[in-house]
Amino acid sequence: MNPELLKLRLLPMPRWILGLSLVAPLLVGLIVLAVQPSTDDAYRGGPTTMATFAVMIGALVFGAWMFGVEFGQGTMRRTITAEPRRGLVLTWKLLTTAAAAAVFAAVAMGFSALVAITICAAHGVNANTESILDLSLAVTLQAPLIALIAAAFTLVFRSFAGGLVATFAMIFVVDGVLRLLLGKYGDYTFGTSLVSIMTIFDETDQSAPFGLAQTLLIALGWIAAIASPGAYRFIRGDFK
Amino acid sequence: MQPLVSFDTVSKRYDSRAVIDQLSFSVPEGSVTALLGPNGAGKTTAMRLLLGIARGDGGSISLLGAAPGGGGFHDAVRRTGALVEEPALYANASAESNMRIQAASLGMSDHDPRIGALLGQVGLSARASDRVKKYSLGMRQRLGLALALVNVPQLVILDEPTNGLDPAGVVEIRELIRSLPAQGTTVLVSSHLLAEVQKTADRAVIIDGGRLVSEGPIADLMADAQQDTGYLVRVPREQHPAAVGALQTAGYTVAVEPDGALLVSGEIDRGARVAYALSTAGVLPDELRPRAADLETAFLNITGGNVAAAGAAAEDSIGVGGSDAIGGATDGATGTTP
Repeated sequence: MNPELLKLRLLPMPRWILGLSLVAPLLVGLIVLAVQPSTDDAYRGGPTTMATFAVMIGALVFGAWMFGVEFGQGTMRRTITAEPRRGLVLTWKLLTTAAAAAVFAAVAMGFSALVAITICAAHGVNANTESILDLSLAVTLQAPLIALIAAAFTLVFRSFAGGLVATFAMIFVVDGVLRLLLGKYGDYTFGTSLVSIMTIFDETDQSAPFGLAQTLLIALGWIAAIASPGAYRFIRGDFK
Repeated sequence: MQPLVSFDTVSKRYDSRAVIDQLSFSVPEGSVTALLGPNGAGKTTAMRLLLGIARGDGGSISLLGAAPGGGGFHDAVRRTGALVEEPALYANASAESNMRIQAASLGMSDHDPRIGALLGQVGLSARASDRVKKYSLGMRQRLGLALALVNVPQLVILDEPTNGLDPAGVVEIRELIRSLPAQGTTVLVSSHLLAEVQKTADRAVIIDGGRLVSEGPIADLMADAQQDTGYLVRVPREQHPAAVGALQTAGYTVAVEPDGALLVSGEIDRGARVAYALSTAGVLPDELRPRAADLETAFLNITGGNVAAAGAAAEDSIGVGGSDAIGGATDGATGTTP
């Protein structure tokens, strides 16, 4: 088995992230059933909204962890001693990050959809499965991008915490500043590309600023720009 | 025979400081070669350069016939096991999981039966399922050694492999290392425990300030040191002044060892000369014997008696350099002989 995939199986963090992303919508579903709110949207949207939030945070943590765990424990040295082709190691890690984040999002969103459909049926509410599916697809596409941007920052800072903080700062601070300063040329921020994905899949809303291809290009451009200095240092530099 | 490792005028600088400076040495196949030197001599950096973890600034390195970054280096590194600095372990995973990940990284099956066998060999079978973060330093060291050996490497590079081990553990790991050449694995090992290296290695490469100081069979290094070791004399403490006076009069240098014995040095071709000098003062020694040369003595001689630097090297071993010299002739004059 590919060692990166084996790490996902044998190290506890991915299991914790997936577990919490499954428990969170289930808990919301049980609370909704217990409280029995009067609005139908609470039954349809409660578990999936919770899962969306959990997947976003989970993807961010997972992306930073993929590199951060290795830098933090000094195991990157061991990884590149076993496989000295550093470019190959980096490629595998980034591919694994993206693929695993997508699978993790699909599983969590699928499970939350099941919970939503079940509680809707129990309460006699129309589940609107088409809307749930659209949301799940959008989140499954967003999750790898979030994981990759967190991985890119972690590659630059060579630290799990550094990667997390930088990603949060990017999404919540830097994007806003860029919008203010350069908004007149168009909103090409990473955060806007994420919102755009959600809007594209929500067929009731026609206000998506970009098409899907353009949105993905913007997001991947940001990831490449941030990852490049870290990747260069990874391939050419020394390891502690 | 082609050496498995060769350094040829290799240099490595960090900022403006040369950590490795024109270093050249080799490791012959089938040997257990010790890389020795005071703290900061460049031992770990040399190992990191060899494995491609760090990049050199000059000279050439060959690992199993391949140069770092060149063709075949990938294969060469995969045929090399390594434990450099502290073991690099996934702390939240078990020893068995760490071994499985290492096996997969090396292209082996992660269920290879060697994983269990090696964990048994390093004494971790009973704790193989425990998370590594619960391990003691010694247990982590044992696991690091097992990781380095999982693919039956042609060469294994071990940096302080007995760090943190209890005395029984040191003996076990020593036996394991000594058995490796018979299994086709050449060993390059660094250690501060010179007495331990003496029992484990058959060759030594001594470096200081990133430069080669000496290289050769340990037996040869010790033979050189044997010439400058002197004699140990035990006399009743109340006779110390008379004994020291007589020995100094005979032209010897006398130092008091931490245990109260007198270390007599100078040009002494046989112990009877020391006994004769003592007898002139009416002192009869309780004990008189040549002090055997060991690797530590050789190391101190070769590194120019750099006691400060070697102090760390000697801290876990016997106390060479801790003598309190009390004077005496140093011009090589010898006492009269009977």
